[in-house]
Amino acid sequence: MKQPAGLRSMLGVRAPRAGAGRGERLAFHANPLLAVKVPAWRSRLLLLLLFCSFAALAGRALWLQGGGNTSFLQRQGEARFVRMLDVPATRGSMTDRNGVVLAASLPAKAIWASPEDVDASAAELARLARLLEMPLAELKRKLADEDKHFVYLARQVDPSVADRIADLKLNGIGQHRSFRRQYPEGATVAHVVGFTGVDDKGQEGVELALDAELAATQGRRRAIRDNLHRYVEEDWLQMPVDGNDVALSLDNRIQYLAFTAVREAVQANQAHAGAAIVLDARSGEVLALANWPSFDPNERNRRVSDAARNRALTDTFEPGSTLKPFSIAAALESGAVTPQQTFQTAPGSIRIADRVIRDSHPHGLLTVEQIVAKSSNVGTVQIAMQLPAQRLWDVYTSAGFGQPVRIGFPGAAAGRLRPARTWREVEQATISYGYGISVSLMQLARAYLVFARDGDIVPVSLTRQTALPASVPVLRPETAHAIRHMLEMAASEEGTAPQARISGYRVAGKTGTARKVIDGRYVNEYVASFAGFAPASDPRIVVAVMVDDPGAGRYYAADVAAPIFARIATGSLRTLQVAPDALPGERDQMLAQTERPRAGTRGEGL
Amino acid sequence: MSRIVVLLLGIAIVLSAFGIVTAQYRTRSLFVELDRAQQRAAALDAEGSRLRVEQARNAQPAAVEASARRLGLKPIDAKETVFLPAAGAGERSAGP
Repeated sequence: MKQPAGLRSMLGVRAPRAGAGRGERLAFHANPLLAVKVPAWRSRLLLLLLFCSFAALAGRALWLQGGGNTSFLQRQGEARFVRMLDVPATRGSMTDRNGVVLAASLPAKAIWASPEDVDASAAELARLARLLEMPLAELKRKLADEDKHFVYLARQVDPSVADRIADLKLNGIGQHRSFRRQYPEGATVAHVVGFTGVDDKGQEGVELALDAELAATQGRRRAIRDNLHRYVEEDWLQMPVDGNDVALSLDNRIQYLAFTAVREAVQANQAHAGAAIVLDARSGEVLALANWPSFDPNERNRRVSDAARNRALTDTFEPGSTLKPFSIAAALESGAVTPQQTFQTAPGSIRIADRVIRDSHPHGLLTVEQIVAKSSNVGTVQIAMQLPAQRLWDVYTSAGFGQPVRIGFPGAAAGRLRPARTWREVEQATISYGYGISVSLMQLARAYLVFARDGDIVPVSLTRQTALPASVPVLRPETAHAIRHMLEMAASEEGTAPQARISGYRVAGKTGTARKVIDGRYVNEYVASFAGFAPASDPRIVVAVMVDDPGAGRYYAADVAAPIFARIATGSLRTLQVAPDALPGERDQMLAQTERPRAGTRGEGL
Repeated sequence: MSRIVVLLLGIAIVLSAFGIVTAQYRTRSLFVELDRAQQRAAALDAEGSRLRVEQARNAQPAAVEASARRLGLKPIDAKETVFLPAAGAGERSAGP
């Protein structure tokens, strides 16, 4: 084959020298010039070197995989595709007995900054401050500390606001998921529900008392991300556990009634404070527990400690006459007196030791029933002095006075009831009509369960109960019925508190007007209280009301506290759909027909 | 003979390797779907509790009372109520 000279030179093949061949052509590969003699050891050496390199690579790979210290590399690898993710879990919600939401956690965002990375312009910062509802100066102060890597700008920010902050696309400003606790009923039920702190832990009320139940456990997972930033594999380190929902015993309609009644009464009477409790007489559940002054738990900075105090549970006061029925019950129980027995209370005062005890009005000859109905101190003292002190103490104690109410609520007060053996004679007299002993409103309400039920008492509860609780007897049923009748008289025209009457139902209850003790001395301020129940024929609710220091001229419980009772009882009975036991116009007739404990023994002139 | 076995085993290995890759891919894409669905569930949950809170806020007794008063309604009173005796319990709730 003839090759052109140009191609030949390109192939690097020289033209055969003259004389090398006689016109015959050599194949290229057979060209003797290409046949270089290579020593055999060179190729072996090369093979060996290549083998060694591969062996070194394999050895290194093995070493990195399994030998020695691999944690650094694993860390680096994980840093590139493994993410640890916190998985939020929701704190349990709180509802009333009918499922109305009283507290619930809603998603929110926490906004944080890394001050050293923030390079926003002044205008951007101003916009951020406006979105955070924070003064610009404060925002600048938070960002001023450049040594910090992390600072919270705001927590519990509404998600829509957080989205707008994210839209600003500022460097060094980030956000993560959190929750915000919402209290739709606001101030109405604030004292019972309480509130949580920024860390979602309960700080007051049931939020604190049942924190373990409500609290959620945040989950944590290890997830692998692919190059599209999607999570493709996960590995749970801690499953998220949502908090349990809690159903309270409250009925939000009754709660609202009680709250507005207390608030309006406190304002109308220019009182310092007020509280009301409604108990279900059968189950001991708290249907309403209202305090005024109150606060809005949704507004964190307005939580003044004085307004946040649940007075009905934590404050004690000398009950005054509301304690008398227990003293009379102790006397009836021991057989010392009968309901129709008469006592001479004229001239309206009695001397015990060195002290003279007076009635507000002299009454003359009264039956035991009338002593309760007209709230005669003198009569009560005469009866109580017939008893050993221990017997009175036993009744007070079994009714729950002197011990904190076990309701699982933080700060429930025990009140003061000294042991009977330390009572002086005059103390036995004053304690019998409610001075020298202090109680909380919750103790008073619970104690009246004894008369509203058949002489037994049940534990009170703030959570909805599915079964009726076991009861403990305090008085014989006959004694309880006798006192119930006396309390019904007290809340009638002939008693001290006709203001407590309501249309359609028979009510029973007792007023108490007591002077306050401040620093161990009686002052010219009063606590007006009322404890009662309705309907008297078959009590369904117990209502206790307290007004602290009414200042608008009237301070008698009959004028101040009894109308609150009437208002709350009316609304509660209607809400609970209790059948009326005294229809309008037939009331007096009904009173005459009542199942009296001892029919036919009613005294003349009642 | 043994050559055929080796060849078959080789093919089997390649096939199962492809199988593993496919399975892994499907696992991951299913997981991505699951993750999305879970996020959606969480968002709906949050929306649900937000609506429940909003409902509770709108159904507050105070709000109901305010609207009722605007409409000129007033609380019922036993005086203006006609009570019908319930069967069996008539003698007490209704009276003669």
